[in-house]
Parts: sequence; structure tokens; C-alpha cells
Amino acid sequence: MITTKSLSFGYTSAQQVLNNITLSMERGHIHGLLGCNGIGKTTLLKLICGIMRPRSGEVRIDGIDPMMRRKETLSELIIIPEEFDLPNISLERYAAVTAPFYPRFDRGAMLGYCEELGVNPRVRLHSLSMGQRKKAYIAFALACNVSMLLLDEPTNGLDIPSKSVFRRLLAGYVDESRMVVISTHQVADVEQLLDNIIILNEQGVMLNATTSEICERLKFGRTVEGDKVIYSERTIQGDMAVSVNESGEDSSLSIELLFNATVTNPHAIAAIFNQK
Amino acid sequence: MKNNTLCGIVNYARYHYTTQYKLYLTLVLQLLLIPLFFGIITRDAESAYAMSVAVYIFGCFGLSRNMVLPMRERGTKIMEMTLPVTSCERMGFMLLNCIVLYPLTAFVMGALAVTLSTPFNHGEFDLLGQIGEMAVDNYFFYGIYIFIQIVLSGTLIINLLARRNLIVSYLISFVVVVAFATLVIRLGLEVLIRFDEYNENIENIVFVSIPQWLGILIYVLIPTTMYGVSYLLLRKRQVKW
Repeated sequence: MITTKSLSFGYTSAQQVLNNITLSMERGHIHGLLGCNGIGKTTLLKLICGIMRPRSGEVRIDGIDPMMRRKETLSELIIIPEEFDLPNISLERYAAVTAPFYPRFDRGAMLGYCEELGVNPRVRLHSLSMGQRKKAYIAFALACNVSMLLLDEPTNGLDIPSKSVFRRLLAGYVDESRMVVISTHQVADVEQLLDNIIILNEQGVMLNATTSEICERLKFGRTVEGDKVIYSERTIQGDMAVSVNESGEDSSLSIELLFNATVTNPHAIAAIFNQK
Repeated sequence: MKNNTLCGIVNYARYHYTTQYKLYLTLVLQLLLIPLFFGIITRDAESAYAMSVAVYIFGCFGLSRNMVLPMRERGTKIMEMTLPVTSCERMGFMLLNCIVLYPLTAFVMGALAVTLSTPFNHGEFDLLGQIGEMAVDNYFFYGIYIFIQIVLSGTLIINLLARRNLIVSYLISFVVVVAFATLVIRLGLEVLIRFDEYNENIENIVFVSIPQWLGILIYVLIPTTMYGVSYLLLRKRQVKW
């Protein structure tokens, strides 16, 4: 489990990025980390990895401070950054020298993932396109079988078929002993995948709820008379809205609408989910 | 899973050399080709030999940069620092690289460069004899080795301290060294001028020599302290970047 308690961080003392973040992310879920540009999603992932030191508050991974750089903590965690450089060697060679750090690495699984994603693990990584490199690293990260997989904008650069393969692989990856945290703006790419949504704003965590909790309390789609509308927007299909689900009606979650509702009407959302 | 194992150092060394092979290949080629080139154009194996020592010294800057580069580069920083390697293992690898592997590689490449340039020479150069001579007078070997360790540990600190602009860090340290040296020379000159004022002969200056064991201790303490500081910086900086 990943927990943060009153976590604050700023790159300079004048520029505070994260403010009083208290949340917990449990295994067995795919957590979606959402927020406006510059709100600190990537910074939060870096703090979880122990790369940066919080100004105040704490981060714990299974009760251990990640900044202690204990091997047993780091070997259970992989982050796929939005931008990364891989060495100019083949994925097979890269995996051969990196696998000793991850005790549950499965070479066969990696080759399987590569096949599904359409990546040749025998060619030099610099001869691949940016999207192909990302797929190669995703295949490697999944094959490490770590219990915490952190993804920063994972679908950036992936082609349309690869996005659906990625979703399928990720859905098959998560079990009771594993969790995935996805920080993204491309919510449509991962909408069906997420089962816990975390929305950050300047004040801290605006929303941290499972998708079933959200659908229980909110209704998405066209409104009917008498609905307590929290947010609405005009689309080609007509007015789409987020409203309070008083009738217990089933509706399919629209993360984009939810996000806009949280940003434009945070107090209403906070009141519904009983959060600050 | 045990922290700080020899196996961890070996695994990290394997990972590091494989992922950074281009940088190390460049360094090894420099250690071989520059002395060889000088040996051929001057037709003098002694020049090749002298150049190999010079490249060995200047290569320190490249080596310390190579070791820290993955932790500094934007594209590799996050992956490198989330690798399950402890600071102690990383430093263990750096020490192995600085104290054993680099001097050994430089020596082998230098010897190879001298040997390869021999057919182009005017005169004769007995490499083994030269090395043998210096080995007997081991102050030279020891002096070069300790000097390299001081430069290496110093540049390692600069590399660990410099967040972004490495060149500026080197420039600052260069200015500090020059300022320090100038101060020392100026003080020395003042001493000489005073001697002159008192009509003292410069040749009469008595150099007070320190005991050999104290000299060795001082020269060993400098790199040891610097490597110690590097380790502390590595521990702190790794989590602060």
C-alpha cells in the first residue's frame, strides 16, 4: 500500500507544487491520478519513488520510507516516465543486465508482451521510434512482475491498436497483490481501466474514490428535470451533465465530465464525497 | 533481499557498463589512440609514453562524468535512481572503477600505444626497462596514482554537486584552484623577496621535509576524505534531485 500523509513539496520555497496531500492507494486496483497541468502529478510519482524529498509530511510504501532506498522496496516498484532514454542496445540485452535487480522477472513473459505489442526485442532500441521504445519498456516493466507499477502518461506516443493492447495487458496484470498508478491527461485511453480516481488540485486531494462509489453518488449524461446539476457542458449530442445521483440510477462514468465538474465546482463534489 | 552485497556491486557494474558502453569505449579509445598518434607523428615512443600519462590524468574528468551521467541526464535520471541499488553499492562500484579498473586500463592502453608506435620510432625505447626503472623508484608510480585519485575524487564531488551546468562547476573549481595557487605563489614570492631584502641567498633556504609516513598519510587521507564526501553526497543527492 502507498500512503502519503500531509505531503507538501515545492521545487523552491516560493513555488509550492503539492500541498497537504493525504491519500492511500491499495493493491488490487488501477489508480488514476488526474489533475491540471503543473499540479504535481509527476512530482507526486517521483516522491512516491523516493527520488525527491518532501518539504513536509511523509510517503510510505508498505510502511517503509522510499527515500531509505531499501532494495526490497525498490525491487517492488517500477516507474515508466513520460520521457525516457533507453541505451542503444537490444531490449533482450537490456533485460539481461536489468533483470537481476528484479527477482520475479520473467523473460518468457517479456517476449510474449513484445509479440502482443508488436516490438522486436532483438533490435537496437535507438533504431525504434519513440512509440516503439515506449512499448518495449512497457513490455519489460510488466515482465518484472513488481507489485507497484507507476505510469506517467503511458499512452502518449502509442498508436491506436497498441492502446487497446496496452489496456488489455494492464487489465490482466493487476491482481490482489499488485497495483498500477496511472498519471494521465488522456483519460479516454484509460477510462475503462481505472477503478479508483484521484483528482488533485492546488488545495490537495479533491477526490479519491472508487469508480463504483462515484457512480453511486453521481449521474453522468443527459439531465432530466429535477436533477441537481453540478456541471454541464454543451456537446454535439446535446447537454451532458454531472448531477447528484439521488435515484440510484446506473450511468456510465465519464472521467472527463467528472474532472471538469471537480475543477469547476469543487465544493459540491467535496460535499458529496465528504472530503475537503 | 539483502542490502549492500558484493553481488549487488557486480550487477550494477554489469548494468552500468552495458548501458553506458559508448562513453567507456570512447574513453578507452582515447587512452589508446591519442598516445599512439603522438608516438607516430613525433616518431618518439617516449612522447607516446608521456602522452599516455597525460591522457590518463585528463581522462579522470571523463570517467567521473561517465559514472554520474545517468543520474544527471533528464531521460535516464528517474530510471537510474529507482533501480534497486543502494548508495553503498553504487559507491562500491565507483571505487572499483576509480581505484582499480581505470588505472589498470590506462596502464594497459598506454603500454599498448607505446608498443604499437615502436616500429615508427627513430630511436629505441625500452618500455619494460622504463617501467622497471620507475617501479624501483616507486615514488613516481605512487605519486601519479595518488594524484589521479585526488583528481578523480575531486571531479566526482563536482559531478555529484552540479545539478545542471557541469561546465560552470568545473570553471568555478578551476578559478578556485588558480586563485589558491596564485595566493600560494604570491606568498612564496614574498618570502623570497624578504630573503632578498635580508641579502639572503635563495640557495640558503632550508626546506623542512616532513617524515615520509606523514606524507603518505596526508596523500592517502585526501582521496579517502574526498571519496567519503562523495558517498555522503551520493546518499543525499540521490534522493534530493
